[in-house]
Amino acid sequence: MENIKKVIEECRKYAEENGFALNPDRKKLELLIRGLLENEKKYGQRYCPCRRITGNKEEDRPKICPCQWHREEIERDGHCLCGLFVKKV
Amino acid sequence: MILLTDENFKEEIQNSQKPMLVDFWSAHCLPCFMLFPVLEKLSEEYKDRALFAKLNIDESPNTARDYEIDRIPLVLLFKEGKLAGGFVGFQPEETVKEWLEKNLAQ
Repeated sequence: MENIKKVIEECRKYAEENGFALNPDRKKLELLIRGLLENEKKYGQRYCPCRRITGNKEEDRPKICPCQWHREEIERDGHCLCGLFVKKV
Repeated sequence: MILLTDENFKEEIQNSQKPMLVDFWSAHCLPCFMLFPVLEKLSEEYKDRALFAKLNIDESPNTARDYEIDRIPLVLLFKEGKLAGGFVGFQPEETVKEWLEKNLAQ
């Protein structure tokens, strides 16, 4: 639980510094952070829980959260694919 | 909903007498969990016209790899064993219904 809080704060700081926000729903946020931590445990990196990890490090690198596509997704859809980062209202 | 795995995926798709919608998902994928109730509801509404199934990509990695799945939730529609369409990400019920109507009619 301590680790989840720590990662949430890291993500919040990143979001604030980049002009967007974190998903305001705490339960949803914790589910996503658990996914990141699960991937870190399993694959060694905090890969996005909404992308398939192939095992090819080069191919998977853009999927490390915050992923390569999050900015354009937030701009276009109002949130990144997984819903961790959202557009500031 | 039918539970598909690497073991039964091809057989179920090939032998299905109705179009089959497959929801590719994973644990900790928030939009996957948001899409579940939408598909559950539509599976009942469309039970005469289509079969609804889901496949966990972590538990069935071979199928996910074969279909080069990159993002989830991914919903694919198979008709007569062949891929006929799909969409990525959470979509609200009305959008999924519109998509189903369009794709089942073709």
